[in-house]
Amino acid sequence: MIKLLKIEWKKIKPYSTFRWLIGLYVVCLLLFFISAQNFRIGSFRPFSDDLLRFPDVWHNITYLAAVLFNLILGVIIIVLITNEYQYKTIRQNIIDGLNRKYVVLAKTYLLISIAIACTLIVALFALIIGLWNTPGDRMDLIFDKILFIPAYAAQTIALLAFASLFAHLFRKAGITILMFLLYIGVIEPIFRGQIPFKFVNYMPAKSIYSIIQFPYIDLISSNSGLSAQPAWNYCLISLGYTFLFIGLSYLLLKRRDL
Amino acid sequence: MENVLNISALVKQYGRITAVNNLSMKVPEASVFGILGPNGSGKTTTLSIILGIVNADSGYFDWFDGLNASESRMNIGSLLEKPNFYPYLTAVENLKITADIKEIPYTNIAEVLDTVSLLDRKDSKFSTFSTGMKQRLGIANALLANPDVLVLDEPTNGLDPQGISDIRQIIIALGDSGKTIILASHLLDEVEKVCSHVAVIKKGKLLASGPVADALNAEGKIVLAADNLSQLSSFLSKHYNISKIEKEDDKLVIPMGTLYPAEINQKLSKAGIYLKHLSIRQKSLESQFLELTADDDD
Repeated sequence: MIKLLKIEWKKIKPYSTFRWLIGLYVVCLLLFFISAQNFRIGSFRPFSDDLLRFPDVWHNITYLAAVLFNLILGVIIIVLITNEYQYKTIRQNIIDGLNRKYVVLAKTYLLISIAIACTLIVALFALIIGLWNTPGDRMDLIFDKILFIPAYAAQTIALLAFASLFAHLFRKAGITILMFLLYIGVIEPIFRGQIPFKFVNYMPAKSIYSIIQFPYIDLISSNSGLSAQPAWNYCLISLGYTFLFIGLSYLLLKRRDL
Repeated sequence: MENVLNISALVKQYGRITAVNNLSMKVPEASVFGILGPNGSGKTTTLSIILGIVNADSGYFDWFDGLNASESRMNIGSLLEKPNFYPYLTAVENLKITADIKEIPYTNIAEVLDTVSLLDRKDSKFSTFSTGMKQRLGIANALLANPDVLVLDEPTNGLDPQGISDIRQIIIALGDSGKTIILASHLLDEVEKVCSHVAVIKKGKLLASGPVADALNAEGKIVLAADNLSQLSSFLSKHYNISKIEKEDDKLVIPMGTLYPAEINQKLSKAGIYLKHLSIRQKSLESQFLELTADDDD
């Protein structure tokens, strides 16, 4: 595993597109949370001070990062994998001695590493924003919703594994990114409308995006947001999908002539 | 170990096109084995199959007496078709990735770059390289792990005459040092200069194989002409055991075999047939190759 990660790191460290996209993700997070407090729709402030306080800040920040910015990470994974097909380096890596299994494993370790690194960034932001906005007398609740952080990691890993399957399927960056966004935004939502309701929650995009639920529900329905926790049932389904996506990526690669 | 590679009845079809058609061959250890064939004859497909990046439809191959492609690739240095590297990485960075894959230290990198005369461009990005330099890096990459077997697909493609000569010298030296080299080429001249063994393939079929001298045996011919060609022809077939007399314009062409031109001339003049043309045509390997691979729509 260390060997594979070392190789992947050598491939991406000098790669400027990678640095730009990761930078974009971090800057987006930063800008959003700096401006969130002052964000207004008319006179309505959707992000009240309360939302940026412990413990809700864990939930709110991971939700926004998952919904708004994780697609950037998906694009990064798609670019990194389709590059290997475009440059035919996937073929070179294999004739140099890497098995197809390890080709898929290397990218899996890479996407997990990216997901964990981004989770740590998000956690750090949440911590700083929380400390900044929470009055001293509420500090006892600081870790109350911290489980949204591992939930965010699970959401990110599942989404990136999904992106990696698309990349192995379509092999060209442009068409892969288009199909990935179309699937999540259009194709699956339409499909979900056509199938029996009991299956809807088992669809991949639906379950991945349901791990961290819309946070304002519990604010609207009751004043106590304390009960809100990550949706572990969706987390479990997404975990299953993660294994499925990686397995399918391997099967695709195994059968393909390069 | 007698054979480094055994290929048996390999078949690969792309739609209706049979790229490799029931191909069998054995590559002896320490040979420089040329796979010779015109463009599109299935050379690269065959190499792709034995390196495990293309799946054969049927047939069998093994390396080093029983290993499959993935078990043996660590001990094989390959350059297949075009050299494929990360364009945004430098020559050294690209070779470091190969070194990591092959689990070898970086100590060889400078040496192999020097071998292919790329040392002064070691920190340039691959994308800035010319075609010939890319090809050189591909060869350096194949040499990197000092493997027992090298698989080189058209290694002199895109090189200038000096580069071609350099690379051939490298291959010859490696062959002399006891390494097995499998070299695909459409250049007969290259195979003739570099290889000890050859397999000639066309449309995925094996046409001839064996040591270069046998497989491409160059047969001489005698060309004769006289005023009366039919008289000459009947005399020749009567007095000599000649399998085939060919007519070329106003000349006759017969296989030389063990015949001796001076002796024929003497006999003919005694019989009152005077030659106005007598010459020996040493058949070039080139025409031999063209003949071997000529279109036969049977």
